[in-house]
Amino acid sequence: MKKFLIKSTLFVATVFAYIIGAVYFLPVDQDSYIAATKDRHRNLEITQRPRIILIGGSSLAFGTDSDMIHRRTGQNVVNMGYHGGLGLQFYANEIKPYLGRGDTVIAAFEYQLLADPNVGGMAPIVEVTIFYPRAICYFTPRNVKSYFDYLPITFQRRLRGVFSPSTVDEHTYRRSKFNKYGDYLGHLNVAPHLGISPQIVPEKLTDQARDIYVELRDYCVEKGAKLYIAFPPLMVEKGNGDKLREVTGKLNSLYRDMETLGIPMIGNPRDFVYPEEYFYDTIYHLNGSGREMKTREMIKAMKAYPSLFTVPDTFQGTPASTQR
Amino acid sequence: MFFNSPEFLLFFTVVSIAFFAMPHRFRWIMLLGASYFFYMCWNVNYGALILFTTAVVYGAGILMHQKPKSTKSIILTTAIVLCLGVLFLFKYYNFFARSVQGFFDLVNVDRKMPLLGFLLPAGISFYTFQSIGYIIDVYRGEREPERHFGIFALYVSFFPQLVAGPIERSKYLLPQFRKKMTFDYDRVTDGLKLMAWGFFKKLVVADRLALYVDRVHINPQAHDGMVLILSAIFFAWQVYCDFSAYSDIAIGSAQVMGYDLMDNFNRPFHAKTINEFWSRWHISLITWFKDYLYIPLGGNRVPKWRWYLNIMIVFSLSGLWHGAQWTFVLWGSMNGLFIIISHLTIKRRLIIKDKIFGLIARVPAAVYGAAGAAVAAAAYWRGMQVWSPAGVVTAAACALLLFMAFVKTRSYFPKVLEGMKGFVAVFVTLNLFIFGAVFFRSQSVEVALYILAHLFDNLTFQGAALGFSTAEFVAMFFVIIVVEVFHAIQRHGSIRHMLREKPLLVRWALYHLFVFGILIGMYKTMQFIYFQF
Repeated sequence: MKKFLIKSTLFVATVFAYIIGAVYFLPVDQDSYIAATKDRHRNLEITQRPRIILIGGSSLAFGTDSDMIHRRTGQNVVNMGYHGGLGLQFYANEIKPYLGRGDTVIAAFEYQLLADPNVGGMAPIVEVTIFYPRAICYFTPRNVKSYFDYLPITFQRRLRGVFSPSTVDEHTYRRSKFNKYGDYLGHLNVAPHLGISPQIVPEKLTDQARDIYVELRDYCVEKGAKLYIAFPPLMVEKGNGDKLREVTGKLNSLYRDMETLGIPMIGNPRDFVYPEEYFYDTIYHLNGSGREMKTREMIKAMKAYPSLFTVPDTFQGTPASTQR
Repeated sequence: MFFNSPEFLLFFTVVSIAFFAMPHRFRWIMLLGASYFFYMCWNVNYGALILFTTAVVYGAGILMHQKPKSTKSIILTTAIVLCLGVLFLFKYYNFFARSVQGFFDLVNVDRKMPLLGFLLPAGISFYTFQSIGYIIDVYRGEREPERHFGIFALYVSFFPQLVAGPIERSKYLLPQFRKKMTFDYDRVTDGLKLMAWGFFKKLVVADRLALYVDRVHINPQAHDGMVLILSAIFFAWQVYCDFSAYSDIAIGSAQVMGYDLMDNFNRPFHAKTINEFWSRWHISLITWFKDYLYIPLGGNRVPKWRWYLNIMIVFSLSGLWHGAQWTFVLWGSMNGLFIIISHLTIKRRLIIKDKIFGLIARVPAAVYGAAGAAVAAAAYWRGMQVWSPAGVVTAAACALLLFMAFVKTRSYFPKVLEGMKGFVAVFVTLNLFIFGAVFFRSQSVEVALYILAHLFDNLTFQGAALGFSTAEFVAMFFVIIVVEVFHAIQRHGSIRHMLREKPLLVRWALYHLFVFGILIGMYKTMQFIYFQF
């Protein structure tokens, strides 16, 4: 048995070594989209309070004009939303070490993530540790599980990336196309190429999503920060009345369920349903005009909470910023 | 907890180490606890269901002992009705209700059948059949009833084979739980190698092919014949690799702890007749039906019409066992029909085969050569594209004719002819399975019929890749070839045993290559198909 244990340990260690070696030590593209995680954490470290921290998936990166929010509310803005594959648990956890009195957290999680019991993330949960190893500090057991689930896939991708590097064109998401707030700007002057995938809207939160909201709410209270819920954009094809009725029904039901969380909500999910002309490449990513409209709607809804505004209400709105 | 998840690897490692670290007398407790934990990871309530079936069958076995035949029959019937009742309630009731509702609608009866909202418990068909097998064995006096409730509960719930088989026989598995297992290096490593082979088939082959098949079945009406043909072929290997992978992992993990489970697959796609196919596919289920249904019905020792009826009953029920849908029933019945037709036509087919191959043997080499050259010239003259379905067929025909011209005058020609006979038999058998499997995979009978009716519509390779990159598309064929190459080697003996005789460095290099192959070839995995049964 001893012989077996020694040999099997050696074998497993060797396999693990080449997986880890390939994942972490092969050359990386420092301008890849996921590498932006470093900049976001730096933003969290250096941005002065009072500040608004936006958390969620890529719909926030593509669909938020943080500069408009900054000018309107007078608060600094850190947009942490950039990849749905990181999962709800990671979004909530990665901001926790930075939270303090004077922080406002606005959580706008994509509906699909609220429907998915896997809150531990997908392949990006591994990729993020390549560029920002400290991310492991924010892992919970759910993230650890996802990490090991997706480690082989990342191993494959890393090898594939070495032997056949992917080409970069105007549609490729790049780290350098984020602005100082963390908004993605690379899609603003690019022709949309919308690919439609099934729209998943739950009528109720999963138990896992509920736990994450409640845990984050309590953590914010403990740290003197405030948590709000906002809503992502949602695409419903123009003229599809049946679909709109179906989606609205689900959103109303979800809204009622979310009210029980006891977290203030910015607007109503119905306010952020847009037709396809406002979307860029996926059903979650707004284009330039969609981004501007969504941000205006959000600011309008934020007026229900005067404490979010530290400057007088004179704002009329400006076109979408392309400030870097 | 799926076999193809990191949690299972962790669970299995912990259980195996605990198993060997523990004194023999406590092992059954640990294994029983581990098995219930494994099962209840899906749903805690499942534990109550399996406990109910266990208690019913255990109690019936004890009650039945040394009772007169009439009393035994009553106990047996009660136990079977209770076990099948649970199975019916959770798996078949809604199917039954919908079918009755369909009938009511057809005859304009205004009555609504209520539907139940139960989730189908994983593996319920497997452990129910294993339990029924035990109670019938006790009834027949083929074994004494098991008096140790814990050991019996372990027999019903043993985690390696709990949710997708093999469906074990009490005569073989129960005594093994009393046997003291010691650590055997060769057995443990053999078990691990078998598990690795299972992981390869599931992660690299089945899940890869599933991508194509699933994409087609989202909307089969949107695809041309070539895509439908490819998806039918890919599904055959997908379902085989998926299910046999589960069996390999189950058998391998039990073997690590010293337990032998029965083989469930024996290279079924190499079968030369449909009868032989069903003696190589899902062996534990087919032999279960044979032992506990087909033979009690009279088997083949009855008038011919009864024999054929017995075959149809067994195969229709085996189809229904797979799922509460008419597609499964039709799939099973179709296989029964193939077997009957095979029996009915066997003499005639043999005569025709002998005549055809006799003719092939008599044609002179020069004729083959001239025919091959003529086909090539005609194709060239007509400007036929090689990468078109007609081009591929023509090229294959041409190659075959030229090959025949070459081998005709060689001394090994009779062997080639025998090989060709075997190949044709395998090809026909495989295609019958692929044909039937269309029903197995389709969402409804209508969809299956649509696919079969449009298999040869607009045959073109254009768009056949369904948006997959060329490398991904070619990989789908490549992994099938890899599986079949392994199977061809297995004809000459166990690959695991062959490996054992190689030097350490060679073995390790091969093991690493294999694991590397799994890592590089795997997809983010999906659930095992047979878990739903």
